[in-house]
Amino acid sequence: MLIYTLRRILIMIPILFMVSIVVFALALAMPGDALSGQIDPANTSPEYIEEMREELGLNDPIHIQYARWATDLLQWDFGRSYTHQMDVTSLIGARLPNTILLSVMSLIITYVLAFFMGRYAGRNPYTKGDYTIQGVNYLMLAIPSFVAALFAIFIFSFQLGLFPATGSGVSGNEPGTIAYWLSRLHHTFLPALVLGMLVTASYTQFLRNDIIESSQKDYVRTARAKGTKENDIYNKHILRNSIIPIVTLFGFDIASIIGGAVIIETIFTYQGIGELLISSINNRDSAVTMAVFLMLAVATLIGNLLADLLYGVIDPRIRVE
Amino acid sequence: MSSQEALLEVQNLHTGFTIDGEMHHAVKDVSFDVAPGEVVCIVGESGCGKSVMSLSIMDLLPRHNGKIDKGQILFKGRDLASLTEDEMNNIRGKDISMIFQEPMTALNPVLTIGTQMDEVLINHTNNSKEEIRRKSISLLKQVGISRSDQIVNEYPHQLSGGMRQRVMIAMAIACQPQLLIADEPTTALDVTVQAQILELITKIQEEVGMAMMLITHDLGVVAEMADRVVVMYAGQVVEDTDVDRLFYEPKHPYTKALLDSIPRMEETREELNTIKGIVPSLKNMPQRGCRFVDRCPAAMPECSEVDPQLGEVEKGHAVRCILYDTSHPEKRAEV
Repeated sequence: MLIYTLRRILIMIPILFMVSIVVFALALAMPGDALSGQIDPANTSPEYIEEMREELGLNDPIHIQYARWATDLLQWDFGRSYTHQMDVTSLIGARLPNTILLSVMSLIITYVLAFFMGRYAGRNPYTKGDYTIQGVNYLMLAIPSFVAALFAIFIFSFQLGLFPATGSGVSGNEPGTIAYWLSRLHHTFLPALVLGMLVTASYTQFLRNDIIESSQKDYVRTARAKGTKENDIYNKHILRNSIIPIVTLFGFDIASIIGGAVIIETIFTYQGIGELLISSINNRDSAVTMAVFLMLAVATLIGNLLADLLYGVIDPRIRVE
Repeated sequence: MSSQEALLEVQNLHTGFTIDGEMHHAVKDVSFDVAPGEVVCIVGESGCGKSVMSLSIMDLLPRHNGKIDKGQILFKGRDLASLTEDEMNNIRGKDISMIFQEPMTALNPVLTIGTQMDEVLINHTNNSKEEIRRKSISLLKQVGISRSDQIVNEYPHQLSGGMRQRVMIAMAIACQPQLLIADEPTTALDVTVQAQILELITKIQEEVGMAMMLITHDLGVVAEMADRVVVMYAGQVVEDTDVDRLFYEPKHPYTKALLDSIPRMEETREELNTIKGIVPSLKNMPQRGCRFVDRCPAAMPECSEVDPQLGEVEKGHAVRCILYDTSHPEKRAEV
């Protein structure tokens, strides 16, 4: 298991190298550069712009620019954000906790809802309850996230006044106090709910279908032949098998925990990574954009590795020796 | 056999499946008894209703479309078909237990052997966890699994097919049942392992003193193990007698044809004897007359007209064929 994990981590190095080239190339391919986002070309002399370009190294050959960027990366230096006038590491460091809070909350909502709905629907397939669950799920799946977010803001914030419509609740309270954390949770709940509800459908459906399939397996008949109660059969024999496909999805979720939700964060003006990514692209802040993309790539790789390792924990057949 | 002696009495059992909203009987009017300690073999080709019949006894039919339609299954005088789920759970695994055909899929892949062994004892005894685990290990020893104290912590995929079937047998005998139903327990195993498993089943059957219903299509196994034999064809019992009379005085043309299909050591021949044709499928079952008529070497015009009845030609030997007046619905009364 340890050797397997180490080998998987080693394989990540060449993958990351290739990802870094792609990310760098994409950033170059974006129209404009750091200067065009900063300086109004109409009011600045071309000589000054040229001087600045030279100073920033933007006129160097591409491979030298890449080598400089990559060497800095290896020293944990992701460059500087021109728009925010701060190091990219500290900028992302400030945004990441917000995004993690939002993602974890939405994942909890997804998993709890999907677990109970999927289990119920799988145990009682083709009943009214099952059809209701499926109907609600497909409705949620069909609604685009920005529409759902606007409706949620309209109903819960404007009409009912239960939750704030914008912000992430960081300002206004002394960090670390209970009031501070409550305010953050209060601000995060609504976007988390919208985010969570939207992906619940696929999880519920996965669990439901797998439970239905597993319940017709031979080992379920064996368990019945032993006089095992129906509840135990579902909770012990079937659920242990049906949870396996859900675990794969969890691997992909790791990336979304870090990456945040671009649309939802933007609508709620939630100060997370997703919102940062969008604003950086708009401002041609390529250092930030590249750093966020790289971080997403790493998160995806780690997520896949984690899913594979978790697989082994749940399913002894693929446990790696 | 009088009803006081019988451990299990199946009476007029009809079991069917709902296909496209219509009920099709896979088991039609099956009756037979099993006495305490007796080994009854159920024989017949694939698709003749043997497995469905045994699943009906345990109430293990597929829930979504299988159902006992008519008839009674009396176990020590109680009708199993009328019991509630909870009452049935108290009987399954304790008084009646079952071994299945496919040991490769019959065990849960994600639970350890020990967990699955313990389960049957947890269901039916009040012993502590430690006692139950000790009992599980000793049961595994009893079915011939060496290093059983390690096997309990292993998973099914780490065991061979024969080992898994041994585990299934150990689970089945854990509570010393009075009746063991074995549904083709050796079909999926290697030939060398088959003999070992049958030997083990016989040994344990004698040790525990339980009755056994062995479902098989291997007449060699029947000769070896059976006290009595019930021959089934297309969901019906066609012959029911003791093992000696089955082999030496078979009455039903189907039984005779089955016996003729066994290759013999002393003969050399190019081709094996077979019964031409196949068992009619559930949807194409003849509605009138004998169900074997299309494949029967002794078929008469009347066979497709008259429904043959299961009647005793002599004491302890019942046949369903109108070659015998005891099976003819009209001549029957006169006999």
